Amino acid sequence: MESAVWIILLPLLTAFFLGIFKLYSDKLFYSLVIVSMVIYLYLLILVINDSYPPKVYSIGNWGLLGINLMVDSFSAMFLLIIAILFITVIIFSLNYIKVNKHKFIILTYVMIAGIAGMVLTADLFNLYVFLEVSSMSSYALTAIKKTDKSIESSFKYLIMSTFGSFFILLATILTYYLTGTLNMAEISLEFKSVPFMIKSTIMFFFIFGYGIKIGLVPLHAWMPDSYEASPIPYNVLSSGLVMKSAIYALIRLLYVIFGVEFLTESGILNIGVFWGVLTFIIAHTLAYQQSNLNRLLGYSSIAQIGYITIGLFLGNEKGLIGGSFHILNHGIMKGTLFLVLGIFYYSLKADEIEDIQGLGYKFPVLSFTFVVAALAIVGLPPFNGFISKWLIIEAAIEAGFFYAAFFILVGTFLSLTYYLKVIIKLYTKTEKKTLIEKPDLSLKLPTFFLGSLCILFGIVPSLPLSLINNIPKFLLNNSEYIRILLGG
Amino acid sequence: MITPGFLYLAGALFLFLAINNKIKYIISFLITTGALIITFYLTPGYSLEINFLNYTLIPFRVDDISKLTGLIFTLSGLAAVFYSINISSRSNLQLIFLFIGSSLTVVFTGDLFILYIFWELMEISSSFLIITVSDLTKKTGYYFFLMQAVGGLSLLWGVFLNHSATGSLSLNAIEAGIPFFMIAVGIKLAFIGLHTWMPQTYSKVPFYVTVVLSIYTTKVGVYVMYRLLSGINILAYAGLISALFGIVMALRQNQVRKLLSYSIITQVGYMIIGISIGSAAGITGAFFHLINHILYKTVLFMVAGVVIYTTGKENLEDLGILGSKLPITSLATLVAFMAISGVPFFNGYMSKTIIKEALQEPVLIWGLNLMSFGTSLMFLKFIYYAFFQNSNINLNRKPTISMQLGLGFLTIIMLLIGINPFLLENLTNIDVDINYFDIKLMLSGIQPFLWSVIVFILLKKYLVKEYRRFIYYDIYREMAKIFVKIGYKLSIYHNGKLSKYLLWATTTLIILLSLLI
Repeated sequence: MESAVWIILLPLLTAFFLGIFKLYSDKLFYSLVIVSMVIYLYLLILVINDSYPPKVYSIGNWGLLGINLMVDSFSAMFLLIIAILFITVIIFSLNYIKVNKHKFIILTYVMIAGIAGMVLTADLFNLYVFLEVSSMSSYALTAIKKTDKSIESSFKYLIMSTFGSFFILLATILTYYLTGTLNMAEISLEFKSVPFMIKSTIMFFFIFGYGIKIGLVPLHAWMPDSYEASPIPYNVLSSGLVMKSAIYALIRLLYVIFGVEFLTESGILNIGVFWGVLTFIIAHTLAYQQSNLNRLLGYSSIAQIGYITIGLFLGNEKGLIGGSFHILNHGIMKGTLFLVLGIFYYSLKADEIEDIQGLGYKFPVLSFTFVVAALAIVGLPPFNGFISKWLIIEAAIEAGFFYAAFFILVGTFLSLTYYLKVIIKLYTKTEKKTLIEKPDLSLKLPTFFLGSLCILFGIVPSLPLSLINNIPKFLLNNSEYIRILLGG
Repeated sequence: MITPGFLYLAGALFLFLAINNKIKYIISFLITTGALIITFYLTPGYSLEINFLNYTLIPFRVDDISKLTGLIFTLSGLAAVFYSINISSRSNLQLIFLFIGSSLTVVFTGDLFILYIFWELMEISSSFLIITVSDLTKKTGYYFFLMQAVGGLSLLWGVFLNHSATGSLSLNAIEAGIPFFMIAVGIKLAFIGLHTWMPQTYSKVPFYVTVVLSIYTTKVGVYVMYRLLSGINILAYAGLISALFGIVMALRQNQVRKLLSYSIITQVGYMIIGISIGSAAGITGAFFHLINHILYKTVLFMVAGVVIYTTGKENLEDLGILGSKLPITSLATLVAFMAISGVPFFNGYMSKTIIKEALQEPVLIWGLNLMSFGTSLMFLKFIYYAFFQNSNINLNRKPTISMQLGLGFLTIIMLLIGINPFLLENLTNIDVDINYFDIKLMLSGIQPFLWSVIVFILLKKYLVKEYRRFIYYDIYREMAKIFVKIGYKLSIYHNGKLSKYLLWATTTLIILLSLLI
């Protein structure tokens, strides 16, 4: 059986059996978590290795009527992010989560199934279904602490996100009504005869719907609230995968269904770039004002999404490479920051900037990891964030968006202002004696693993870039993608 | 091939192994002297290429000027590391190594990409050095880092503009983005208006950090200015104005290290003038002056350090500790004073003479004389407090041997260059063709000094007095305040009400749909 199918099925089945095992024995539960994780890692590597040239998997031998899965380099990169973040987060949270631990792990597995489905499917309606699967589990994960705050923020998230989903569904239905098919390749072919105005309306609905899930300013408001209240390991997945899978879906739709010529013609590329600039400038300005580190990192995530949006909306090869690389890098960097913060919270219940004062001397190596990731996310060399920002700026200049390129540098400066504030607090000595619960190795190892990737990908960017360099081939030239999907 | 910069960077890693002081000494000694020896035996013309992303980069390239700068950097690195080795903690020593290593890499780089990366690394390592070194320097470090980051980012923007215009990352093909390079270099070398980071940083951090920072930060700026902006004549006048501003400010200071910081601005003015005229003689003069300046200014900062170390205070009155109580330090002070004032037979004289001979415009020549006059005036104040004022300050503790070693080492080199100015020329195969010991040259060299002595004696009561500290209007702080205020106003709108969020979303939808039409 095809391994790509199992990428979606395995976490779903695991979640199901975990739910049963939880009733009987903890030992069985944890061994299943570990075993399934290892198999999953193996499967992911298998599929990622096999992603170029793209492979199509049709399920149930129904031909075009059935559900098609397609793995190209763009999906493979997301599978790579899943491989890196999911494994580290699960290992981390086995020890970290104290309340509702079983539910947390089960829901995380469901969420991963949804995200894996989103990045693999080549069918518009399935995309929506998987999006809802991942969103639903996200709402539950946000509320999992069961405090007043977490339930409130989960509710806000639910309402806002459903508002977005409504427009995505509306656009999907309209597309089906107009073209009579849900297969992305066929839609793209049918779309050639659809009037310009209707096509643009559908496109704007998609952009608006996904814009809420991505968190573009001013659709971002739910995001910092939900970060503040949800468990920190979930924040890693949320900023690394949930947001990113939405932007994946949007980019996939725009470039494959509509095609880059239409995007240029309708002017959406200009709007996207401008929106990206607006997003990160406002998000950086607001991040400076935060006193809670979760909120600060949340705003920083929104800002980074702004950079990614610019990269992906430039409509040229370098932009797609830079934007995709920044997706990967941001997942790693923000993951590191959140995991370090998670350890601080675990040992001292510290998640305000005031609370972390002097921790640089109590946890020297952890704080160093934090500093590395912070400098990386600011975009200073020689870390990975610098390389992807360099690529994005270069692409922006190549596409003629000088103002966007310039503002990315302004944004770099603005992000330094607040990350430096945190770092200085970290290294300010204090007399305060605080109770420390010693973090053990299972918390520290995943953190160090992600932190070392920040340095590794900065010094040897060719490692991930060998995969990422193939991405533009099937996005910019959608006829190639369509040909493969239709089995030509 | 091991480059000197790389050796220092590796040294920063090796210092993790230093479990006790002995190993720390051995590693530091091996790295610093090793780098000096390697630099000494570099052959100009050598270059190294690597492939990174889609670019061909030249991380290492040697020519006469870079070898000269590299030599003085490794030499003073040796002195500075030994000056501070007993006082600095291990992690700070690592940062110092990282800092020196990146400055050396900047000096030997052959392309803009590597230049930017190590320029930025310099800024990161020095900022973290300032931040972690003491409890009192957090805000200074914040200010320093942000200011330097502006410089770094404008360098980056210049690199992008130039790359998109010429398609190359080579250092020799600068066509576009020159204003941004100017901002970047201007911040690094503390040009007037962009200098605000320097006096406060240099006067607040522990004294050994000042010694290290003052050697490299501004001088790397000078070197990069030579690479990217040499021969822009108009900048010579800018350098002159900046230098005169430095003199005016320095004369007002009561704190030793603030006086020395403003004096750096003046001395860098000489180098700016030399580089801006763009002739071979001017550039050589500028770089010889860079060497001499590093020597005497480091010695002076080391002297200030000894005063702080022994008395715990650092006002000009506390310089009275010099004299009979600290013989070696006093001797070094006198030599450095003679050198910085441009008295013949001391090293400052030679480079000032070369720059002066290279000038043609009368305004600049007179400006240069004025600068020499002002410089000796401000250091006469220094000397007056050190030797001519009765004081009854006592030594709290003796300076360490390693401090005196670092100090003495540089003083001897300074004397050597002063007595035999051709030493530098022979070392680097640069021929200047000036007879330094010509009577006419010597007279014109010593004139500003003599004038300044006369003026100092006449106007002593105006010069030697406590000036009121005045609060400077800092435009950058005002801009920061506006940014924070705007952010605060914005953050108030985000009050957690769901109805508001939905309103924003609906508005966005309407705007998006209106774009359709």
